Amino acid sequence: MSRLITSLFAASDEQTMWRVKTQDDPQAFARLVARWEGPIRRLCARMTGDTHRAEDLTQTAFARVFAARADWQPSGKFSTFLWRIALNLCHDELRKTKRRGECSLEGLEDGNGSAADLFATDDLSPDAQADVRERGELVRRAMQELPAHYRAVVVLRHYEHLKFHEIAEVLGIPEGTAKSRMVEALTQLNRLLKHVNEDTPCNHKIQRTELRAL
Amino acid sequence: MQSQDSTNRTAGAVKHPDATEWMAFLYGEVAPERKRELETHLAECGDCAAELTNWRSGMTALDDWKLPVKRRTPHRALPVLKWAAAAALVLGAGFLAGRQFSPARAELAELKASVAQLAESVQRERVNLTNSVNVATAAANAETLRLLSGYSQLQAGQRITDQQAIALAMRNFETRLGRLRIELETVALNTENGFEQTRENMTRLASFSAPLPNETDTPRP
Repeated sequence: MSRLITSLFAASDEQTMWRVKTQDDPQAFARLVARWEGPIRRLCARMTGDTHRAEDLTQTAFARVFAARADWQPSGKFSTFLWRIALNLCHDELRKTKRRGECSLEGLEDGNGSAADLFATDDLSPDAQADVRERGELVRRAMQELPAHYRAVVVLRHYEHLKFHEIAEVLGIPEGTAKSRMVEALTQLNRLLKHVNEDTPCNHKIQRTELRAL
Repeated sequence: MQSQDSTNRTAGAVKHPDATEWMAFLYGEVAPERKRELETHLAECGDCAAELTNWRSGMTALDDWKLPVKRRTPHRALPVLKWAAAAALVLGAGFLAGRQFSPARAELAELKASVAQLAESVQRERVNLTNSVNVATAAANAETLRLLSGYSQLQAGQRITDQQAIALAMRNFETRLGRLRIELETVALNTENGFEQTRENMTRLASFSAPLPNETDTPRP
């Protein structure tokens, strides 16, 4: 039995997706979800800057994958297919949010209290933890100020460790373009972090937290 | 644009590496040989070093943004867990039933029986699974063999038909060759007869005209 399970788990994403495509195998699909829901949730959270919306987007992304299983071509990588679907969802979501003129309420809503136990900073002292959270929050804000197509490259390269040529494949752009977007993103990010107090629609919240931190 | 600036910068004779190449360098995507070259350049070039420091500080800042840790650990894909849950249910039910209706020994026996039963069912399931895998493999093998033999039979049939066709053609050819030979021989015979006749005629003609020169030699009176 255990040998059978390991052999099933050793199956590549492409083999597993093939089962989903040809046999509508729910177990195979569950394996893909188990393997990929973490990365996809992280992608959505970094793209939208909102972990709650990321949960919904992740669910939708996998629903779309299942719905589009007939379109999946085994000549391509499953991960490329999946990243593309999730990124498209994120872009749609960002467009919607922008139209409504909403600001994300992430993090700041919780203040310094209940959010504290959520963050992966257990090995630090409470003060240091607060400091890290504060800096993380500033980075999150700055990232949301970046154009979404720059942000996508940063998320895939820096946080999800895709190679530039893989990013190029996911985004359907030349590898050089992926790299120059990274250059531009890092440059803009530094500029944004230096001028974090300048007026942006959501910045009163940052300033409030900064005041609280003082 | 910063990236364009850095693309075109040159210091003296030295060409600065492209900003996009520095990205590949920062994320460890350049070949070892090129990496050494870039490191050498970096040691000598203040401009590039400054830019790299800037980008590195951006990368460090990115590391500060941590996402909330997911608290629940999903293992729903594991079929084993389903078995475990089923086992727990059966055991629990058995235990409750035992407690309700029988003394401790009977309870224990029942529990043991249900465990045994469960083990047996797991075993049976495993055997079933192995069997079904074996059956499927065997079926696939048989199918492959059948297809292969079908194919080779088809091939053999084709070969035989071809051979028959060739033999027939050969036979036709031979018949025609024979006929041709007979015709040729007839022609040859005819020709030979013709030759014979001609020679005879010529001889006759020669013997016929033999006295003629004498006639011409003799002076006419």
